[in-house]
Amino acid sequence: MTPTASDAPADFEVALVSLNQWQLAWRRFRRHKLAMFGAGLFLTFVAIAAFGPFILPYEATNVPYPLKFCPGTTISANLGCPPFNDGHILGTVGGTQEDLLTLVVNGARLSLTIGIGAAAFASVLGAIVGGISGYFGGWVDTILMRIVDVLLSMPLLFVIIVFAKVFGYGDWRVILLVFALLGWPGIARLVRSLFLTLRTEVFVDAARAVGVSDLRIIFRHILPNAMSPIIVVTTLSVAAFIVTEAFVSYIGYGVNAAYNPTWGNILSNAQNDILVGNWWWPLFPGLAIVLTVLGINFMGDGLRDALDPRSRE
Amino acid sequence: MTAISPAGGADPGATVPDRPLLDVRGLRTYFHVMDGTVKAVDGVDFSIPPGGTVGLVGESGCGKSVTAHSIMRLIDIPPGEIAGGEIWFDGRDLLKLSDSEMRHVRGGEIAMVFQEPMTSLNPVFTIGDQISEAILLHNDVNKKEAAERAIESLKAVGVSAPERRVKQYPHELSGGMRQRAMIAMALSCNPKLVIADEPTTALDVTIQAQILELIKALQARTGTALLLITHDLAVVAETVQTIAVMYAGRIVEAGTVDQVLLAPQHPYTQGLLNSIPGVKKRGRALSVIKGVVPNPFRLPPGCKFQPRCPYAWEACSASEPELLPAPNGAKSRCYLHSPEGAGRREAFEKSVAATMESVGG
Amino acid sequence: MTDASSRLAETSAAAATGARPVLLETLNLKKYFPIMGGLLRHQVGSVYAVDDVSLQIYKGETFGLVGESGCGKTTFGRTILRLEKATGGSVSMDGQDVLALHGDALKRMRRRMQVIFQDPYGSLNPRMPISDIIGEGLLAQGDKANGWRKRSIRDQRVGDYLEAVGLRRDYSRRYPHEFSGGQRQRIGIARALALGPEFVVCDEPVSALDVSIQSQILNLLSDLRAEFNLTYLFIAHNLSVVQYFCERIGVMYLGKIVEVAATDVLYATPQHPYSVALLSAIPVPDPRVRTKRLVLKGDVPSPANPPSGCRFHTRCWLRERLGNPAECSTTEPPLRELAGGHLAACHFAEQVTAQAVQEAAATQSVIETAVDVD
Repeated sequence: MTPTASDAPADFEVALVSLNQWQLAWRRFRRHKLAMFGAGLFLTFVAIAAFGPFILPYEATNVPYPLKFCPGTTISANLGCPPFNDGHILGTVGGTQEDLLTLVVNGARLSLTIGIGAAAFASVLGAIVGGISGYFGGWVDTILMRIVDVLLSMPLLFVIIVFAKVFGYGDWRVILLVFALLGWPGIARLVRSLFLTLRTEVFVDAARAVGVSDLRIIFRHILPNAMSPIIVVTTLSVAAFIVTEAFVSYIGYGVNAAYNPTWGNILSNAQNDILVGNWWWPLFPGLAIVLTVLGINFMGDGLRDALDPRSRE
Repeated sequence: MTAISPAGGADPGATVPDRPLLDVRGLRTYFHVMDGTVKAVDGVDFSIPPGGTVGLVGESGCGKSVTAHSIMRLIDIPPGEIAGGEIWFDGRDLLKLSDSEMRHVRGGEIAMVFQEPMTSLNPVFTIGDQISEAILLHNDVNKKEAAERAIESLKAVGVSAPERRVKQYPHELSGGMRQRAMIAMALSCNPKLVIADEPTTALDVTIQAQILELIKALQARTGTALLLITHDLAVVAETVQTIAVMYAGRIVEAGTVDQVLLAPQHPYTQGLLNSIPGVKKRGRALSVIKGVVPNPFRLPPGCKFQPRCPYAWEACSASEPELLPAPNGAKSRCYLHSPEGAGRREAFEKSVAATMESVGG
Repeated sequence: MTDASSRLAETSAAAATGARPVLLETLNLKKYFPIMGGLLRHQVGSVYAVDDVSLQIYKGETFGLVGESGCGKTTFGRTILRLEKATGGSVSMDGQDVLALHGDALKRMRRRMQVIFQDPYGSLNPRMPISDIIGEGLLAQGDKANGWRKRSIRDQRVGDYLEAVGLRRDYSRRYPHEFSGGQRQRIGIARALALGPEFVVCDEPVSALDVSIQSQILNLLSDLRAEFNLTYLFIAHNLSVVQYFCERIGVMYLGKIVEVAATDVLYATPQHPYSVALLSAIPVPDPRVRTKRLVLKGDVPSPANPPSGCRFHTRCWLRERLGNPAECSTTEPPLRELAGGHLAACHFAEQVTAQAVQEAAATQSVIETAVDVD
């Protein structure tokens, strides 16, 4: 005997378009104006980093022959020339007299690479370790979490100095590695707590009750539901790593400015000359950092709202 | 005086002796959300006399809780909006009060008991602190007197060793005990009206029995008016005098407990009574209300129950009926009680009689 | 519907004669949860969720298990299904020791015993389409004989079961959030039944639903019981639902079964003081029924620290009437047979009479019921 027609729920209850959770999240994200603006800002900088160096006439590491005065003025070119001067839209920096726009655009490459790379590295490692820890628990969990505790207690500068001693000073790959190494434990803790909660969800029990394997439960049930917070945290940590890179370079332990400009080391070089009135030198790399970080944070907030299943209409 | 009356045009202050304590007239509460506007409450009228007890019954999403929150002005604006109506309480329109005046009414003259006592009590304060804070807020007493009254109010709701309980935190109490503390807090300022929003839904059966008996006994003792909001017809059956049944933001049937539960006059109420399983229906299929509650964004035309109604005819989808007087004195928002529906009423009444055979026991 | 009702009548008759084969049996089943504490997180105590439960569920019957929250009814169901690891005792399904199975044998057993959960929102993975939610079990259980590993065969079966639970076949590409609570519960039922089980644990399947949807789901479960020859263990706290739906009922209190009887017998002559109070607590939607109800004092004690002797003695109205006999607090009453198939665990079950209940109800105070029971 099959259920009678009157038992069947009426059709008008079901939505006409079928969207999965990701499609719904994108729909919500699109309506978040600030987040769309932030994403636009961030993607603009990514595009600048990717294509800018090919378009600009100068090369970042090409140190020009020093001028005595800025063209057409009596200002000493040694302190850098102001914007819109002789084709240098953002002006030039003091000392080497390189084109500031070229530096900032090339700096975007490394700053973003370090930020995105370290965040991605930290997230993948953190997700794997946190996932194992949360799902299996027991002594595996205890050991992994103690490692996490140790890493979280390490001071960043100390680690950078030690690594610099071993692998050489100013290598951007070392900076990225250190960031990732000190970044993943935080993410591992988050993922572990997500797994601990999701492991007890009723749908996980339901899957176990029909005989689904552990591996499939992790990858098809728990991980997709843990993705949203992981994505949000990864996004926000890109911003955090960009700021940290700037900080580390600013105090002189970061990427070597002589070979690889980053927003941080351009700022660092500018600091000696701030008082002399050449405001453009620190302003533009600083602005690039602020706008990128702001863009990422707006985007992160939007993602958090869009991906939160509780924020359903 | 009937407790449930349609909104009249008369000045609410005119007939003081007969004046209802609470008179809700044409209340409309809308929520503006991403996908459109949800008309959660759309034209609700009812009143409660001083000391009267009214049950607001309906399934989830029918607007019963939103009605209660609107009375307490606890709707978040935006996304919420009180789009129309008046809420007369003791000679004042609550919707016109300032926020500070409303704070005085809330907790002082109207108190609320919520479904989940754990979330409505603050976990970082002791029970005693929370009750005496409410007393201090609404009465001219000092801290010591307030603390004494907190103990008294706990004693009044049957809490043993109240001197010890006031020093405990919410998580140290059981669910039933927490709900008693909530009731004690609600009654501590001698309110004229208590709104109880699903007060027993989160509790176990034997604790539900305790709390229901307690509410009944306290209501009889203090003479406080009671608005009981619940999804459970059985709970209202023994607790209140009059019932209003809600569906899709409207009251569809209103009358005394006996009128509504012994001879339902709206097909929805009949369907609800029919759906309640019981020992008398063993071995038979339950008769069901077909379909589901309509999507609030796509309400059907005419009567909102019409797509699920076994008695519906053309008139039902053409326009929405008013609350019409039914033969037994109750009011029903159904064209069966209009002159055109007279011919169809016999079948309905026969079916209601069959329903009543199998209810209860 | 007439099919279902005549079938029900037959089966209740058979239950009365006791001539039916047992499908599932538990013997002294125990499930204790450790309480961890202290600096070194060692075990400082146990929650006695299920303590020495022996039950027999007959083939084709619907056995109701009722009790208040914390009584262990849900844990009992989960332990049978191997979703919790039993602390002791045994479970046998058709004579096979369920607790001894592992690996492939356990997976094959899962095909025969399935579960329907309470929460229609939490029990479906929000990131999966319905076809995967229902098809996942088929995929896991696929072998050469049934061909469930093949997508086309699986999809066909998913569609069949969607229709069996009253949903449309083409809903299978949709996601859980697009459905209402009642529809989700139907999907959960389809998932359980798609594997073709004989025994289904229904863990509060209608508790989270509105009354009008609840009756639709109960009718569906009843129809499916007839169509697929199912045996149900129906776990619920709502006695009116259990009375309507089940042939036999077991009442649980703090991890113990306190009474087992056919529904009509339990309803007419409950023999355990707790069952009496539980029945008396059911609110009735009939304003004419104004009998004085028997209100229990206090709350259910913690299952981590259950009272000595009879676990109910701290709240027992009968014990009070009998002048607090010492036995109640010192000796645990065995579950003993009072009449054919009617078991109760009370030293003084014979003293539970209609008159005693009435007198106890008449003399109680309904306000002073919040006393400490521990």
